[in-house]
Order: sequence, then structure tokens, then C-alpha cells
Amino acid sequence: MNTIEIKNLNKKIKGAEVLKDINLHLEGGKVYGLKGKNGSGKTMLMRAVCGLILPTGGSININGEQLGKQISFPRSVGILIENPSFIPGYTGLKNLSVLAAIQKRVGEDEIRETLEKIGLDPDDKRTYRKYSLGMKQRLGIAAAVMENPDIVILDEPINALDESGAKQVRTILKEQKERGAVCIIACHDSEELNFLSDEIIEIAEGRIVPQASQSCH
Amino acid sequence: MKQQIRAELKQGIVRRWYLYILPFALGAVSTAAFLNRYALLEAWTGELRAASFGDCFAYIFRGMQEYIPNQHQPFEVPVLFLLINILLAVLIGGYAAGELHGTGLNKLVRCRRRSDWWICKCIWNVISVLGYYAALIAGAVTAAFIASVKPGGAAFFSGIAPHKEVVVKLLFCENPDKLNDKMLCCMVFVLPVLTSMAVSLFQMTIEFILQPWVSFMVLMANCVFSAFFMKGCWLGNYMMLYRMKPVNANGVDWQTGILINLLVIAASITAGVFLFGRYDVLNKNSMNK
Repeated sequence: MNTIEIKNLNKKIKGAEVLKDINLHLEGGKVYGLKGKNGSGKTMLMRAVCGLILPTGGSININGEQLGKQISFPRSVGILIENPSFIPGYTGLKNLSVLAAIQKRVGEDEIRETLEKIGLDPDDKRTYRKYSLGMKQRLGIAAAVMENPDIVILDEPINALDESGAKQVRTILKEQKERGAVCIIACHDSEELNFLSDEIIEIAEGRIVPQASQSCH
Repeated sequence: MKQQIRAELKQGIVRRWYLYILPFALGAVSTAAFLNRYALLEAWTGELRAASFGDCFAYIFRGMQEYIPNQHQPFEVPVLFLLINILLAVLIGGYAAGELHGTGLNKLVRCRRRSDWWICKCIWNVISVLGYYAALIAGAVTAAFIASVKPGGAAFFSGIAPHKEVVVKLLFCENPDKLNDKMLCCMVFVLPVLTSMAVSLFQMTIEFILQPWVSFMVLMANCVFSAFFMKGCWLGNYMMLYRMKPVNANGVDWQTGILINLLVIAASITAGVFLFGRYDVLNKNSMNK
């Protein structure tokens, strides 16, 4: 089973403590919702889990391997952090193909399937620069999940999405969860977050708020 | 890693083809200037061997003579030398750091190691420099070809290697006896490319420590100090034939230049691996999230 073990995680940036004493055990097959105000540390925690920032103290173990020591990044991770960004002159399919070519885990058929699931037409000839905000967001989600990674990290996945887009995100998250991925999401819409998550983790000023760790549904 | 490098070259070089237009034009314009200068030299000194591509390259990378401040010798801005370096700095600057915060974030997490990402960027950097020189050469060859087909125009390049007697006359070499063909080829072809690689890798490393615009300023400072001071510690001197020892008796040594450039290349790559291994990938707005 996929697991993420976070022990006494601390992170200081330019003297400011952005993450303080974080202890978490996250398991595959669950969706964890990060809740908190702007600047509470949700995005920082996500960045730390995917290896983009290195802990000042403590450790993050992904399936038994320590981030920053044994591995630089989780071996299998899909991310959507902040605004998605792709090659402006490529179509959605071509953009995902470029990314998929790095690890060669999926071929064109799987990429097409993912695009369809998220509501994008794989044969759309429009380049990324002509995409609407919602389409860009969908492509970002597709990039995160197309390789069926062990860890899925989505920051504000329903940003700029209409009701049908939000529904597609729910379906995709359900699928990822069912195949055993650890899913971590952050969302400003509390209602949506409660709906999407199996467990809510509340963060305030870089710390986990103990009483707020709760099961949903 | 092979796939990463392929993606890097496609995105960082092929898709940015337009950035090579200016070095192409620079090569063409400076070759036209060389052919004019060569015709004047021929008229002045009598019959010369037909100019080679190396002679043209020697002219392009002639730089400026040593600047000795006095009332009779005002400082002349080495325009061509500065342009060559500015265009290269524009080509290299900002790409690696900018890409990291855009498309590259998804690429980065798909890398096995942080060092893989950095090595890919170094390979991109080196190939970009080679591409830059290829564009410069293509411009030079095109200009020479156009001049050769023009009625009454100059003959096309007679070969690749630079001719010692042409370079001696072109640059008023102070110690022509000490100049040999092998040395000349190294000074004309190897040193400018090697120096550009060293400077570009250094620029990319500085980008991660400071900011892309700061790295650009550091590079420009190197150009200006190189123009003012004929000292081996200012890398720009190794891109100026006027500053080389056989051409200028007090000039910089070309062998030392190769060594220093190789050291800067090795230090930049190693420092990058070390620094990027500890680099926090944050967006400018991340502190507010």
C-alpha cells in the first residue's frame, strides 16, 4: 500500500516558519483534504510532499524512502500546484505527450483516454495559448493523473471549472482513490472539500490543527 | 534521462529557433565588414591569399586592442564583442529558471534526481552555445556566398583554417614568429566557443543563486571589465584575438585560457548540482499562500 509518513516536519523560508511540527500518516486509497486560510501552509505542505521544497527539520518518507535523501522526488507523483503551465504553442495532447515521454509509463491511447475523462477533446487542434482558463485547469489535472501515479496532489483542482468540470474531477479522484493512490487536495470551497475528501486536515499558521482532523461523508 | 534531454532540446532549442536569427544576421553583417576590410588590406599590402573562413572568424573575434588610458587614446566601445556576448546572454538568460516555474515543474517531478534536471539544463546550455555559433557561421557563410556570386564580388572562402599571414596583417601581430597554425586554430575556433560555454554555464548557475536579471548584469560587467582590463581573470579577454599573447606581447595566454574556461565549466556544473540539490522550488507568490 502507498504511504506517506511525515515526521516532525519543519520548514523555514527566509526566517519565517511556514511549516511547524507536522506529523501525518497518509495512506493509499484515501483522499485527504487540506483546509486552511490563505498563507496557512497548505501549498507548502504539498510542495514538501512532492519534493519541491526540502525540509528544514524532520522527514518525509514515501513508501519507506526518505525524500531529499534516498529520493529527490516521489517515484510516482502527479501534481497540479497553483496555475497549470504548459508549452503555449502545443495542443493539449502534444503537451501531455512531451511529459509522458520522460518516464514512458503511458502511451498516446492512455493520454487520449485521460483527456476525454476530464472533458477535453484529444483531437482539438487549438494550442494551449488559446485554451480558456477552465480548459487549462483541466489539462493540468490530466497531466497530474494520466500516468496513474501513486500520489496525486491537486491544489485548488476545481478552480475555474464549471459544474460539469467539478463533477469530472470528483469522478477522477474516485478512480484514483480506488486504485490505491494517496490523493491530497486543497480547496477553498469547504463544502466541495468535504465532499471530495475522506479526511480533512486543517492547517493554521503552518501547524496541523489537531481537533480538525476528521473523517468526512 | 535520454528522453528528458530530447524534450529539453526540442523545447529549449528547436521551439526557440527565432532567437538564432540575430546571431545569423550578426555573422552575415560582420562577414560583409570583413570582406570590405580584406579588400582594403589587399589593396594596401598587395596580393594576399584568398581569405579563409578562419580569417573571417579571426576578424569577428578580434575584440579590441589593449586599452591604456591616456589623453590620446579614448576608449572605443568594442561593439561586435559586446553584441556577440549580449545576444548569447539573451539566448541563455532566464530560460532555465523561468521554465522551472512554468512547464518545467511537471518535468522536474518526473526526474529521478534533482541532479538529472540540472545536467539536462547544462546539456541544453552547451548545445545552445553550439547552436549560437552555428547560426553565426551560417550567417558568415551566407554573406560570403552572396558576395562571391555578385559580379566583381570577393571570392568565396578558400578554406577553413585561418592563414597566419592574413591574421598577422589584419591584427598587426606584435610577435608573428611565435604564432603557429595550431595555436591560431585554437585561438580562433576553440577559445571563443569554450569561453562562451563557460560564461553561459556560469550565467545559468548565477540565475539560481540570485535572479536572472542579476546574472545578466554580472555577465555584462564581465564584458566591460574584459574590455577595460587585459587580465586573464576576465574571461572576455579569451574571446579577443587582440588580447592573445602572440598578437599582444603582454597579452593573455591561450593555454591558460583553455584551462581557466574548463575550470569555470566544471565549477559551474558542480556548483549547480550542489545548489540545485538544496534549492526550494517556490513561486514568487508562494509566501502568500
